[in-house]
Amino acid sequence: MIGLPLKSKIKSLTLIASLILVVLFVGLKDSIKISTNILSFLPGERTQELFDIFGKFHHSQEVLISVKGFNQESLQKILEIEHRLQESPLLKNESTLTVNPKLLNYAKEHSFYLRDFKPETSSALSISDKLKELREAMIKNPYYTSIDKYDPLGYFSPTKLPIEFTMQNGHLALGDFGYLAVFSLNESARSQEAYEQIYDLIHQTIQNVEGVRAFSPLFYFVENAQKIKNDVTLLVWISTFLLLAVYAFMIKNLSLLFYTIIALINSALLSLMLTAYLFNDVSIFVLAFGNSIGTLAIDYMFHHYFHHHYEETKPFNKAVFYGFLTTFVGFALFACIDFPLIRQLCVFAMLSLLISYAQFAFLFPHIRFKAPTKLISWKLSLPIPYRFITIGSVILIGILIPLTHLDTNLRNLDYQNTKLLQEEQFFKKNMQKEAYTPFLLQAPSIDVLISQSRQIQQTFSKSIVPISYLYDQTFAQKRTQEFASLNFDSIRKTLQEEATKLGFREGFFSHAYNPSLLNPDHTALTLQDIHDMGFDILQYKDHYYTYGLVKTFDTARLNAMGNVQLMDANSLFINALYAISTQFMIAGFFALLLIAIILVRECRKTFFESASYVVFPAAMILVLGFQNLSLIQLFIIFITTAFGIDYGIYVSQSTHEESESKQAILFSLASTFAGFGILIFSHVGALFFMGYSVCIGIGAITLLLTGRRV
Amino acid sequence: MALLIQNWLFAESTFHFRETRYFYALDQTISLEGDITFRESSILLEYSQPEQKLLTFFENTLSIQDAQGYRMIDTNTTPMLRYFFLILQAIHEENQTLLQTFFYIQKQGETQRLVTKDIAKEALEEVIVAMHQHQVHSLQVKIKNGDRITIEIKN
Repeated sequence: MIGLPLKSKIKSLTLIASLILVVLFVGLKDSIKISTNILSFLPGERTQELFDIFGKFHHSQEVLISVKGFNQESLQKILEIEHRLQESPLLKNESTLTVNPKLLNYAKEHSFYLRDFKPETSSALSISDKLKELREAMIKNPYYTSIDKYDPLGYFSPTKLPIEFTMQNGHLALGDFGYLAVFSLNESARSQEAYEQIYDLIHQTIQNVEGVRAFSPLFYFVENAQKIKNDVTLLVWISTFLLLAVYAFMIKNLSLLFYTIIALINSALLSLMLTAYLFNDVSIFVLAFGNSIGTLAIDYMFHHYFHHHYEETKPFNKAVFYGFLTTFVGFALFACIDFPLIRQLCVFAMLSLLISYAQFAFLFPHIRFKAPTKLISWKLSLPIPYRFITIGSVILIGILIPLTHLDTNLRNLDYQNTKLLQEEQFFKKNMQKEAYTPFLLQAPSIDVLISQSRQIQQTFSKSIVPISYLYDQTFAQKRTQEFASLNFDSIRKTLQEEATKLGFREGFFSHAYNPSLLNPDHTALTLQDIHDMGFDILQYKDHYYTYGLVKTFDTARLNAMGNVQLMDANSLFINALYAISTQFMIAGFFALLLIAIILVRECRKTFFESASYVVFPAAMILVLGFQNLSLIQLFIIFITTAFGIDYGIYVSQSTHEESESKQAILFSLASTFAGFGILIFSHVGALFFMGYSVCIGIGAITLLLTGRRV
Repeated sequence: MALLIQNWLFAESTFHFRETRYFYALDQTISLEGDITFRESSILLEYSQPEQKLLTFFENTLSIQDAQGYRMIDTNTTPMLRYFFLILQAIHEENQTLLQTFFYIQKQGETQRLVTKDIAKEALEEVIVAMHQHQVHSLQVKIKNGDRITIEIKN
């Protein structure tokens, strides 16, 4: 290599460096964790923490399977399914009739504290009357009637459950549809791999069973992940193919084409590896976005190439540098926002643009490439009132911003899995869990957690808080005092005397209202006790957490109680957005300030024309957003303004032939469409919105390009 | 339609029975007599002795029509009643799957001993079903509180 000329040395070194990068990437590929779960990239550390806690509850990922009908055949089918699935170490059958011995003991020993207590008068006469009534019922009732010998006077009644479990022929039933099997996930089943195993096992088990329906929230992780992967892979391939075709057509210089592709691959691989190093998981959207961001980077090559920087030694291209700097700083500003998805996209974009720019601005001029052939003779030149467009766009933006609603429905950014959404709705409806919102309850101790859960259960009669079944120490003291005021020793004595008179067996009521039931051991329950009884409580840092469900119309009132976090993705998203809104505005303000400074400093002579490349695309995205923008679209508006300013700078350069600038811009736009615009065909909301908005931006810029100043 | 009516008519089967209920608390036995009809999705108990009353078990609800009028009971709140009708239905339909949900089945000649398991253990001791020429002859339900219910089929 020593004897080679400089140009060949640089070429060889470039190829060797690229090869090393590829080998490094292949070696590290498996350690790069790609995540398809949009929820794991929600803003705010606290939101992530809450999702992690919620995901650890056994019931948060329940698997529901139902077989149509209540005949013997259906029962046989559901039992077979249960039998097969419960063999898996990942699943636990929750529909079994096996009693939890720990819970049963607790329920027996503390029955006077777990049930509603409504004492009536306890005179000898009233006790005698009550016993007569019971005896009559036993003898005369048309159906078999038994007596509770521990509470014959009926002071205690079971607490009414907000949702009654439906049983048919001794098995859980799903409304009128058929038998229901419920499975929870074991501790070992908390990963994407485990979800995929469970998903496969369930679908293999039920595939030949007629009239069966199944749903679990984990199905979204598996199906959406697969569909997003397929969607992104297909789009990346189409986009790569289109880009190659566009580059081959535009560049027409095989050597330049080859090194450009190498440069783009280098920047994509290195950016991905660095992003994976900086973040634990890399969102799959970064992959799709990364492929597209390369199309912004190629602008730097086009502008250097069409302005002959690769053919002869020319002074440093300030226009491209300022274009790069504005976009880079714009992304850097947004990377400061505490929103992992946007932060990852920005960091990836910054790295990718920096690496690409370094290669196109500093490496390529040394390799040297032949001069470009003039492909397009720019004849189309409409008189466009840039001043009017700029001012009009600013006014339009000013009017539309207050009228535009931010779409906070997170599902709109995810894969639109309509089939699974329908299954979810079907099970919710039949389990009477429709219009319920999950929530997390947190407290500094288990006792306070139980106390608060009981308070919620009492305030919101239709809420479901499993641990409200238990009782807290304050409640225990209160009820003990109530018992003390009733003199149960006397009641028991009278009861036995009156019962014997009425012909009841001697001593039958000797255990009625006995001291061990009236004063059981109230030692505070430990976390282990509660787990053993089958309840979900988690200790995280110095707090205890449990979960519940509340009717959606009660969410605002529940939220006001404090210590409660609503766990539907939208509420969390809205709260997190509210928390980062100031950061978003600050980043937006500085990005706009930077653009304004660049416009004033670099494009003074063509201020309105250059500014139109910034404000017109943004105004058009707002107009065609139809007053309903997703956060991704909002982000894309800023990106569009960031690359709009690049074009504003390029057209302002009086030293350049106008047609050369326009040709470079046109080629940039064509490649941007092939990279970003292709995302419009995605079934994933986040990618679709990116593609849709970028297409509008490209369309607006192309329109501006066709003009001449009037 | 005629076929439907015909199917419905032949789907049901009626038996005359005598029921005795022993109450441990009172050390007393009462006797009742009547007809039991099994339909596709319901059980009809028409008592004639000691008083006329009609009980219909349908979709976990027991409807009662007697001298006191008409009333309904949700058997989900009274486990003993639910078990009683489940056992009747399962034995009549020879629904082994349903029986095995609650019992271990032990066969001794023409007698089946249903030993309770899981949650049924909390309310029942065992159920003894005596068969005669593949027909249920008698059914004895032993309840955990010492009570007994015996049903003897008369035809």
